[in-house]
Amino acid sequence: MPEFTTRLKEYRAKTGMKQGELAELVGVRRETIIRLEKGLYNPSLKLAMDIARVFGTTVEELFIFGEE
Amino acid sequence: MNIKQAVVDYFTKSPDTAHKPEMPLEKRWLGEAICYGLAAVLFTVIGIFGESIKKLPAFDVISVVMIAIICVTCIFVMFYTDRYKKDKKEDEMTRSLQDQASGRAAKVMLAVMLVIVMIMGISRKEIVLSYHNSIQIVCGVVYWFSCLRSAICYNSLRKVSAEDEEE
Repeated sequence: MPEFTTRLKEYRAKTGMKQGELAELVGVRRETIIRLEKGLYNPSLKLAMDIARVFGTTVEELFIFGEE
Repeated sequence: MNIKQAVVDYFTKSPDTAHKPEMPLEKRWLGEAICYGLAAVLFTVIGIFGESIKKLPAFDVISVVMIAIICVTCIFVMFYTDRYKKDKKEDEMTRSLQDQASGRAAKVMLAVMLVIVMIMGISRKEIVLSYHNSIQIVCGVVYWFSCLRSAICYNSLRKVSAEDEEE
C-alpha cells in the first residue's frame, strides 16, 4: 500500500523528461525515481525539494500524503 | 588498462578522472552474497568439524582458501564501498534498502540461532568446542549475516528494476 501519491509522472510527462534524465539531474539512481513514482519510497526532504526545483513547483504540489 | 595503472589511478586521481569500475550495484551485491556465503559455509564447517578436518591431508589447502576468501572480501569492501558512494551508484533509496535488509537478516539469524539452541536444549546434546573452533563459528555467523544481507539487497533491487516499464 503506497504511503502517499505523487504527481511526479504527470510532471515528467509534461516536460517530456525520462526517468533516467530526472535521476541524473537530482543525483540518484533511476530505480529511486521508479519507486518514488509508485509511492513505494518516502524521499528525504532534500530529494523532494531537488525534484520540486527541477519542475519549478513545490513539494506539496508533487507529493500528496493520505491525510490531505 | 593494466592492474598496476588502475591501482595507481585509484590512489592518485580524483574520482572524476580515475578509471571507475563499471560493475552495477546489483552485481556487486550478488558478488558479495556469493563471497560471503562461501566464506560462511567454510567457517561453519571447519568450526563444527574442525578436529576431523585438521587430520585431512588437504587441511593446508583449506586454510589457504579461507585466508584468500577473507582477503578477497576485505578488498571487495575496501575498493568498492567508497567508490560506489562517490559515483552515486549508491543513493538514499539503496541505503534504505540496505538498512531494511540488515534488519531482516538480523531477525532471521536470531530466529535460526534460537531454533538451534532450543533443539540442542531439547535433545540435551552437549557440544564441547575448542577456543579456535568457537572463533571460527563466530566468524561463520558474521559471514552468514553478511551473505543474507547482500542477498536480500540484491533481491530487493532486482525487484525494483523488474517493476520498471517505461523508456
